[in-house]
Amino acid sequence: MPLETLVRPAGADLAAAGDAPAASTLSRYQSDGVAIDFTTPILANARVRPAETDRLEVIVADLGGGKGSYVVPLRHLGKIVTLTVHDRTLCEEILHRNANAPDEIRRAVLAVARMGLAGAKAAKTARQAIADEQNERLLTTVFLIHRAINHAGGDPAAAGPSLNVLAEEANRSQVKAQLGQVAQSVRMTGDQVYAVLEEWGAIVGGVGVPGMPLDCRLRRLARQVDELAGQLRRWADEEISYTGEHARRVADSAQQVAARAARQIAKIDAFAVATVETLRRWKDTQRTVRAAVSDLAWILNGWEANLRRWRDAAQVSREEQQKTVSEVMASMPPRLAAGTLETWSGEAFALSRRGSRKVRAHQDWKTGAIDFDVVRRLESLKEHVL
Amino acid sequence: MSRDSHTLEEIRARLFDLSEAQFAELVAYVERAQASDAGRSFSAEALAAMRPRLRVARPQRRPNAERIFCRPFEDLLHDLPAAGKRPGRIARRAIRPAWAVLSRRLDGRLLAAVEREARRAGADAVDWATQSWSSLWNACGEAANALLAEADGDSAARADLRKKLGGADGLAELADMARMMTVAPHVEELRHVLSPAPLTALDEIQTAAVSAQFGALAAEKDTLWGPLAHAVIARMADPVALAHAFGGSDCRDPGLHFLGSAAAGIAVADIDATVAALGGLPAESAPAALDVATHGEAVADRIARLREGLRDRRFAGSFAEIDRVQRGLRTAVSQTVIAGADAAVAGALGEAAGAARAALRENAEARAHALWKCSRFAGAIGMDREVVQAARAVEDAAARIALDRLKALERAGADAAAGAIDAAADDLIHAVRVVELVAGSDKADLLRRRGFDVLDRLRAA
Repeated sequence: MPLETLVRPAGADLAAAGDAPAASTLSRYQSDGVAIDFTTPILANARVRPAETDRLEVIVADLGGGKGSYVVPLRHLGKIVTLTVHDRTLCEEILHRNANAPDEIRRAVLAVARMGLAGAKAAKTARQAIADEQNERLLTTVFLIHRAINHAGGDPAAAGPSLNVLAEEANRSQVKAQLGQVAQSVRMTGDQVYAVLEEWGAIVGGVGVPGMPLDCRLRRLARQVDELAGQLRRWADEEISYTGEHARRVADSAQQVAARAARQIAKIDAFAVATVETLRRWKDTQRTVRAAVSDLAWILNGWEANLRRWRDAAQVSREEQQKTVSEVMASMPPRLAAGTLETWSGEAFALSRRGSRKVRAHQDWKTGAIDFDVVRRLESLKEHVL
Repeated sequence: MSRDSHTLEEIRARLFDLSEAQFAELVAYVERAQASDAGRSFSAEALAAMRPRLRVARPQRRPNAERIFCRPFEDLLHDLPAAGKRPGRIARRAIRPAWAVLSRRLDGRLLAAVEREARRAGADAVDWATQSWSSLWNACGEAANALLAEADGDSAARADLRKKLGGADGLAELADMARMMTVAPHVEELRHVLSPAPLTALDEIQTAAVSAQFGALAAEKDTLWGPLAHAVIARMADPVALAHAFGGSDCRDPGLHFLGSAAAGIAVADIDATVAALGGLPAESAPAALDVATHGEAVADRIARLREGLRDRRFAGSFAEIDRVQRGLRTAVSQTVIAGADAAVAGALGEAAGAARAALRENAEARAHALWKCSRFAGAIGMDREVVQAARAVEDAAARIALDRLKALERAGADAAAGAIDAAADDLIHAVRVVELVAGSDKADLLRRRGFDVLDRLRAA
């Protein structure tokens, strides 16, 4: 297939190009695509999004160093760019899973990293992340059951079974019996309530419920993004070059995202607070809860990678930190990078992006050969536990 | 002493975490520790640990007589551990013994006056052009020359001085220091005209200033142009740049022409020293292989530029000398990077388990990585064939062992244990990563597909 039919240049203003609807800010988030951790240097800031044809496409920033973006079908990515084995496997995995939401893409990335294709340390981190996710889901379910039993009792002081008891597989029938009271009030059987709570726990496992002793992944991520904003501001105060301004802009963006995520988390938590009400109308609320969690994942999409980059930069010289800030800036969708939603194109935009793309030494990105020094650096980002 | 060594580790690990102000504070503290007998060795080690950042940050150091003495040749200092006097450079380790010998010969009143003034100046506002300091440089130069003259006439005195300075190299370093003292005021003049090291090239204003200093010393050019040239060359990132600019016979300015010719010589000597250091690294060691591969790229680049300049008659020099240095680099590459690379990879796919296997694999990947790095400059130093052969040997070994293991499992059929399948899958992934480095992603992906096909069949059975 000739290249021209595969690659379609897109303007810097992707959302306005008519490629995707911009009905609400959330769908704008979606039109930016899902950030994905490829290890091929040129794809370091690539994003994936569903195309009009139900297939997936990859948004690649400025192959030639300009300010535009390219949109390439995921299936044909390997024909445009020489991919690392890790990325070839990842593309297969994404197509196989038909993944297109942040959480699904993340799971595909973890599955490939777990194989060891990004190195032994990244594999270990991925295994840990997968296990953590499972545990968080289980713990969330246990907390939901705990809430349901206590709520039905009406008196929070007359606590139901302890969490340890609930967590034991052997006590399941006993737990179901204790759910009887709440089951009656929502006109279900104990088994049904148990099944609903399990389903609910699986949906909100990434967020958890209020009052848990540990923050689940997305809740933790939201907090870390908020902290990142503070760290970047402090860093910017000591910075005299224009990178300081970039850091402030990233910080602004991080703060906006964190605030939005906090509101979204409060919305998800509200369902858990009104446990009985949610159970009673589970058929309807289920969809709402699922959508709310998915929205949260979209809002926080891409910040995990930025946190990893920043953590990686903590141990290096100031100059490397400047490069990292520029990288984070370059990895952000143009709209977010420009700060406010209104100023993401035109002269002000071009000015705001000036110098945001610092090329690291020895990047063979225009020759087509893969620079494995850069690949190693990208792989090492996957080793950080967040 | 264990607490101190712990502190040193801490300093090394967190060297770049501190802010500029914190770092300056730490430097000041460590330097104060130098004053007490107990703190002296700790202070020296701590400063050595902080050297990487000191080199970048260059905080204002508290002046003292010894530091003022070093100022004219501070750009010339190097830390290569290998013995031997490098032309145009001075080993940092030579300072202490040389100062010990010199300071004893100096006038006590002069020393006291300098120390007093240094203390008064403090670290923040140092006016280096002060008269008493140039008198210190004069005195040091005279003392060093007197010592060397005595040693020349008397073999017992020579042996004694040699012993005090730590060998014949020490004598040569002292002679170089004395030469730098004689041009100290001129180096001082140039100090702020030239930007801090490393400079990539001299611009017009800088060239004019350098030329003026050479002109001022024209009457004594036989003795004084050499050290002045050394000071300028030490500022440069790569002396070859100066050789290219001023080494040709078309350079009308005699001073600059001298500088260009001297730069060509020092460029060769610098590369020679680096290659010798690389040649001294242990074989069969992954960090050494990566070191050679990393520095080799830069050295190969410099050799190519030297050769190019020589071919275009930009400066005078000998091809034989360059060939000799290149041979040294080739030896270093073949001894540390190529030799045993396939064995290291095969070893990592062997029977070892647990932590030992993880270490072997990390080692094997580093060796493959070094080989990949070398393949980028192998052509420039005429090692294409060797590196390609080594890469092929590594590729063959990795692919063969990983696939053989899978096929053996397939032959075993239902008897194959699930644990053995997982271990073979692990081996396959490791082999794929190694093959990707030495033979490219396409071949590695082919190996992965073949392996995954077998694994799918095994897991289905």
